[in-house]
Amino acid sequence: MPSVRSLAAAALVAGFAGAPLHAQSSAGRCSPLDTTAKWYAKQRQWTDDSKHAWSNDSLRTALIHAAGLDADPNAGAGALLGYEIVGTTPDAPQGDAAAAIASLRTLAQNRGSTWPTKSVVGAQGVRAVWLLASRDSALARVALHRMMEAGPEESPPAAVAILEDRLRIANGRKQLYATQLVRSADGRLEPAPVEDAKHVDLRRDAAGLPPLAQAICAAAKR
Amino acid sequence: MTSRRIPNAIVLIALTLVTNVGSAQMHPIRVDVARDRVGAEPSTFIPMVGNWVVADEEGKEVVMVDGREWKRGQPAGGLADKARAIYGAKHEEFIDNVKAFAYFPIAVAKGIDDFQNGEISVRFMMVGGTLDRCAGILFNVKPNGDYLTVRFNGTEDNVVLWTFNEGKRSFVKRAPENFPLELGTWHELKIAVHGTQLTAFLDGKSVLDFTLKEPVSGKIGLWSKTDSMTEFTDFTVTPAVK
Repeated sequence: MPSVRSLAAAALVAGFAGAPLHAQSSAGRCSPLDTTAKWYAKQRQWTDDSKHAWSNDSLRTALIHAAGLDADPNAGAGALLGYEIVGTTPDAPQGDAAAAIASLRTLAQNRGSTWPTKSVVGAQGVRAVWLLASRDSALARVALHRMMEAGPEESPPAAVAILEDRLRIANGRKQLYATQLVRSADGRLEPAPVEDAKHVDLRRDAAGLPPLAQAICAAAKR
Repeated sequence: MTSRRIPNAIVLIALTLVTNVGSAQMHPIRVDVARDRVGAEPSTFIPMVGNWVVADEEGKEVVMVDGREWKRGQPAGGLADKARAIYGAKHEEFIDNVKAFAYFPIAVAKGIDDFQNGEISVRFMMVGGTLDRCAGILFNVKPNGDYLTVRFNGTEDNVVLWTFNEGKRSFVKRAPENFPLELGTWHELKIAVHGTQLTAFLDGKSVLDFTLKEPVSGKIGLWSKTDSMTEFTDFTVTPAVK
């Protein structure tokens, strides 16, 4: 069963305002990151925590710490370009991460519980949950369900899309958003099998992800 | 990718006058968008909730519910005028209930004011949707906004009958079998109504039977859910002799 390598990095985080956008602008044939594009604006709007409009600050802090986002102030603050490279086993969660994953799994089993969505832990807290879910397939399944249930105001569609693709590929199904890339025999990165490939960019647009060609180009430059 | 084409806004409701003498079936009515402008709202369906447009799918005009701009609780533009057009003085109650159901995009078929008995079929193709991937037949639409729907949900792989009454959605019955349908492939959803007997079909196979509390009587159309992106075509109504 394929798994995903170094998700925090592989999903490629290109910084929002103030952070360098060199991931593509210096990348030769890759078109520059268009910060006026709708997908970018959509993600930027979603990740805006400036109003501090979350209800559970202690949970947010704990999740951010468990996911390691507090170690780097810029980590998790950028746009998801919508790719992950499938292939190797992620690091086994330990310490605070393992404890947080166990707590989230327990929380998910309690039907009436409040899931840490944006109004509860803010955008950064949701990103932390998403990163933790990338390290535990059981948590990933319940997190995807909870995120879809919560709706686009509470769960970032881009992250939901990546998570759904990851689980589909892990379960031997075709992906929907072409976010899971594999290396071909000649070393090129290409999407793992995609369902209804004809409409893939329409789905990526709906999820707030850049066109597939842009994501593959950026992935190849890493 | 769905492309857009040059305007040509002409309404076409193709009435195929096929009279089967001695049969219980009457004239099949095909609600078509073949002459509509791609990118515009369909002229043969009235969008009440959600963003419904005419799309070009490999050279054929189809109706598409485009959930990319879906927002919770937001009815379609011009709802008051549209509701007034189909329900006249009673439209305000309709609007109140439609707003309560704004989670579910609906488009009412023009020119079919009271479907009671017979069959309604539509071909659908799920294209996307991060939260939902749904396609449904809307029927028994009342002036107060109550309605019934039989829908396929591609995130759950099932067919379910739902009822919407006075601002509340209620589950009625789920088809016992699951149907994992691939995106980008065409399928047919059909209902057959005879008095209070309802049967739903998926790709020609009977998947759900239910006895309704009272006979069906009302407008009909298309149904969807939240951010679904689904294309519809060949919406056909075949009324039955009472």
